[in-house]
Amino acid sequence: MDFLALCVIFLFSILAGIIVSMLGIGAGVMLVPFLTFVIGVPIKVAIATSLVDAITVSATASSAYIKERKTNVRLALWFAATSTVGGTTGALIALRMDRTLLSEIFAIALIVTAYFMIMRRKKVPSVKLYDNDADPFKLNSSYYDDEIKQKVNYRVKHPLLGFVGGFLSGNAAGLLGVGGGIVNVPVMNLFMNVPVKVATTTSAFIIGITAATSAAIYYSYGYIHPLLAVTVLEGIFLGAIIGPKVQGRLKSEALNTGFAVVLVVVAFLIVAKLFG
Amino acid sequence: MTRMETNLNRVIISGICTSIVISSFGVVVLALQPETVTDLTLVPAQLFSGIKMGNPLAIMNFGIILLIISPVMWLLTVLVSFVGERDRNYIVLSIFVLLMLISSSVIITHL
Repeated sequence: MDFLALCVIFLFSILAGIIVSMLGIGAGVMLVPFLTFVIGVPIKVAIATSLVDAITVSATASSAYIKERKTNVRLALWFAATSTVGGTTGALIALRMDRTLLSEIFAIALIVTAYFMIMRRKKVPSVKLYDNDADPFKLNSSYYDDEIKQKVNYRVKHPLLGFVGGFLSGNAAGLLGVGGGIVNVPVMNLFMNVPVKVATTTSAFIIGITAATSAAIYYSYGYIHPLLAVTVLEGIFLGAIIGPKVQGRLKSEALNTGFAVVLVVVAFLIVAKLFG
Repeated sequence: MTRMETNLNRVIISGICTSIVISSFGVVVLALQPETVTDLTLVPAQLFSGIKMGNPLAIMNFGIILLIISPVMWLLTVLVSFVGERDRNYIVLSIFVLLMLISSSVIITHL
């Protein structure tokens, strides 16, 4: 890989880091199509690279969000319990799968991601929390919302759904390197009564744990190429530092919709390329 | 921030910074001796001897490995906090996640 290609990858990774850290999704939805179809990297190497970088985004974004008390660590553990199993399964399937089939599944995953991003998010109104609330797993919490400038309290429902969501998101990460945000965020928001901002920030934390499982497998099979991974890693790191700083100031709905449109276009480009 | 959040935050930042610094050092060494490199992953034995010899590829690989194992440290930090709080439910859940994370990686490399 020549110096110019590495510079282009580095600049694109900064942009990807900013966007994915704001949206709480894995970097794979941007990196895998870019590395595969623009730079010409084999898809399994691209998936492996994006998994390493998913850990970077997760770590960088989580450190900022934990400081702002937006990440619910207890809730994250419910998802992480099964996402590690799902991540292993997904990575094993991907390593034995044909390149074209993997690309087709990836294109479908992009459209599904776009659908969940455009779909109207459930608004979770702030509630009063009492000491005698039934909360055996200590999942109820609160955070300060920068957009509405007030503290929001929330009660988490159906924690067992975290196991189901975790397994599915782990599978998506291991199979496609896209992180688990496409599953984690809707499950938390629509079915567990978690506000979108807490869902995205908690998802960012879970993605690091899931991606580590899958990345270790890809590493052991030699699909992680150090120079490529480090170039993307450093770009993503810079982007993920900037992302959380601007998240509170942007209208998240406009950002979601714009990005969803881009994903659909990329999915169609992949399909068009596959079928000549 | 709670004590757990403060400790977790410190561990996350230390892990990512250490791996970035080491990987970046690898890139600097590579820039100084570009003829020595083929971009492939190394097995552990090559990795440690490579680091001793200042092989940029080995240094970058080491940074990447540190990054991959850093979530293990996050989970250990969370576990220690729950032990301190004597929160049995979450001690069990953290141990389970930790074991799954470690065992899936270890088992799979022996398949």
